[in-house]
Amino acid sequence: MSGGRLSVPHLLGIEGLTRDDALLILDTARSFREVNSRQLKKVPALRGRLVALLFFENSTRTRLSFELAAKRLSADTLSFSASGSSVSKGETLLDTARNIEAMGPDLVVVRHEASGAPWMLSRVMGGAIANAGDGQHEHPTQALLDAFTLLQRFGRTPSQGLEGKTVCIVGDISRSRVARSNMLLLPLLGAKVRVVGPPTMLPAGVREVYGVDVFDHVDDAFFSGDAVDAVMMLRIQKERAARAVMGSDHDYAAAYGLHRERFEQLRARRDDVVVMHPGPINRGVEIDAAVADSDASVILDQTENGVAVRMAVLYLLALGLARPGLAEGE
Amino acid sequence: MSGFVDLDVTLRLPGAPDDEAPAALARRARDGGVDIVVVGVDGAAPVDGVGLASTAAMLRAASPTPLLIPAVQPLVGGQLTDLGSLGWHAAIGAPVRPVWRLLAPVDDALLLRRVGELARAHNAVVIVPSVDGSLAAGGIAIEGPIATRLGIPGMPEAAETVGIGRLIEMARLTGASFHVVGVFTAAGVRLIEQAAGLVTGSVRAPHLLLDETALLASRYDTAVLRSPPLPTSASRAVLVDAVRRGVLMVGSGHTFVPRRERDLELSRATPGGTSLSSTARLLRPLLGDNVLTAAWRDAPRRLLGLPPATAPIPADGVVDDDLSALVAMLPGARP
Repeated sequence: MSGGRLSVPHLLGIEGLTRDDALLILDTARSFREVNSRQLKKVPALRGRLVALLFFENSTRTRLSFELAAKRLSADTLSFSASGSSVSKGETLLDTARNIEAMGPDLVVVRHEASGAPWMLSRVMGGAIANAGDGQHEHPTQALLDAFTLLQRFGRTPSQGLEGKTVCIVGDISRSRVARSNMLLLPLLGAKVRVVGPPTMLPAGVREVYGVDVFDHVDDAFFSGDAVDAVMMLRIQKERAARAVMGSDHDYAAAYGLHRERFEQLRARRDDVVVMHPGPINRGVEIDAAVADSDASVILDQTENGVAVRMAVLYLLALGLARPGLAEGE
Repeated sequence: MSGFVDLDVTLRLPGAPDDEAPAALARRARDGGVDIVVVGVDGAAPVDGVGLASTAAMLRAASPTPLLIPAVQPLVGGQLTDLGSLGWHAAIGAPVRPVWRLLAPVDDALLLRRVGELARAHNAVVIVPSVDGSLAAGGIAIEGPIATRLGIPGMPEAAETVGIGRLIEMARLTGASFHVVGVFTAAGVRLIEQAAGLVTGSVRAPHLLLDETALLASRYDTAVLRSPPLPTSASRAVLVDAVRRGVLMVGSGHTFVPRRERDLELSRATPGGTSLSSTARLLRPLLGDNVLTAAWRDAPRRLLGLPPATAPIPADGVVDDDLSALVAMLPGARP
C-alpha cells in the first residue's frame, strides 16, 4: 500500500486535487483491485471506523459501490437515504447532518441533488467528506474510476498518465457532474478532451473554464483531427433538464447517439477505440445496445473498478483524519 | 433629517416570528440615516387600494420616523388590483407621488401595458425588477464560467436587456414612469442611458460592492446569494461609473432573509439580505459624499416629487446587517 497522503482533508471534487493526489488515489486503487481479486476480499484497513453513506438522491451503482468498498475495508457503515427519512418530512440538510454527526462518523459519503452540498457538510461535520455526486457540479469518484479504467485498457500505470490520448465526452454536458469531473481530471493526467452535445446542453464558458475542445456536431468531434481513443457517452438526464433542451429521443439518437454505423466509423480510425458510459444506460438513445455490449465497451469494467477506486478514496481520507483508527493505532 | 430615500426595500408581512418586524426595519433605516423608505410589501394579503391605508397605518405605528411607505401592488395573481391611488395621499400622510411596486417580473406584455396606462393616469411611479422572468427563472448566478464551474443554474445577462428593453418600449407606448430596480449588467446601463429619461433605474448596494467572484471565494455560502445575481467584474465597474455619472440611482436592495431560509443548499436558499443600515457606510468610500447624495437622496426625491433636501450625508451606520458581514467576510471583493 502506498504510504502517501492526500493534500486535502476531503474529496469534495476533482477541483482542488493535485496531479499527485490523483496519482496516489489511482495507485492505491491498483492495490485494492488486487485485493478484490483474492478469494478473501477483505482487509482491516478501516476496522473501527464508521462510514456514513448519506444518499439524498437516488443511486444504485454508486451507493452499492461505496458500501461494498467500506465493507471490504472492514468499516462499520451507517446508511441513510432521503426517502422514508426525516428529510421527506421536511428536515433540512443541516439538521440531518447534525444528527448524523452525533453518531460520530469518521467518513461521510454524500450524494445530493444540490451542487455544493458536500461543501456545506464539510463546514458542520467532523469527519472526512467524500462527494458521491452533487447536483450538476462534480462526481469525483466516477471520474477517478473512468481514468483508472482507461489506464487499465491502455496498459499504462498511473504515473504514465494519459498523455497522447484523446477522450470525447458526448451528451448533456450542462447537467453532467460526470463530465465536469472528467473535464478536470483527464487533462490533469495528460489527456486531451473534446466535448460535444446539442447547443442547449453545452454550458456557457465550458471551453474557457476547462480548456477542452467544444463541438456542436458529433461527427465533427469524432472524425476531425487526431483519431479519438475513447468516447464517453453520457446519459440523457431528463429528470434534470429544464423544458426545451432537446427534440425527441429519436432525434437525439440520430444526431448524437453512438449507433452501430458511427461506431464502425470510429473503429475504422482506431480499431482499439474504447467505449465508456457512466450508467445507467438509455439503450437505443445515447448508445446502441450492440455497441454497449461490444468488446470495445468497458462499461462493466468501470463498475468493477469503482469499488477499488472508492476503497482507495475511503482509505486515503481515513489516513488524513486527526483521530487514529484501530487499524492504524494497533 | 438626512432626506435620504430608499426606493428598493422589501418587507414580508405578516412575517413569521423570526422575520423582520416593521419596527426592526425602521430601526435599520434610522441607523443607516434613511428618512423615507418605500417598502415593497411581500405578503399573503396584497397592498392594494383596500389594504393601503391600514398597511400604512401599521407601518407608522411601528415607527413614526423614518417614514415607511407601502408601495401599492398593481397586480395580484396576474390581475389588476384595486389601485387605491385616489386615496394615496390620505393614506400615506405625505405629499409623495404614488408608488406602485411589481415584486416579480411581468412577462405578459399586455398586462404590463395596462399597468403602464393606469400608472400614467394616476401619475404613479412603477417600480419594476430589471429582468425578464422566463429568461431569469431559476438562475442564481450569471450564466458563464463561474456558474459552469460551480455547477449552479445561471441566467444570461440578456435576461436584463430583454426586461429593460421591453420596459422602455412600454414607457414609450404608455407614457408611464417606470423605475427599474436591481440593474446588474453593463448592457442594462447602456439601454437606460440610451433611453434618455424614458425609464429610470437603480443599482443595489451589494452589486456595487461585490462581483460574481464572491461566489467562487465563498464556496456555496448562501450569504453571497443575491437577487439579481452579483454582476461580472466588468459590469460592476460600469455600474459604479453609471452611478457616478448620474445614470443610475442607488437602492439598498434590503430584503430580510431568516435563518431557516438561508441555512439551506445554495440552489434552495432565499436570496437577499439586510443592507439598509450599512449602505451609506459602505458606499461612501466607493462613491464619495457628493455622488452618494446625488444617487441616494436627490434623484429619488425628484422621482417621488419631493422637494430638494440639503441636509448632509447621514452618519456612518452600524454593522448590524448582512451586507456589512458579507463584505467583511470577503475583503478582497471590496473596491
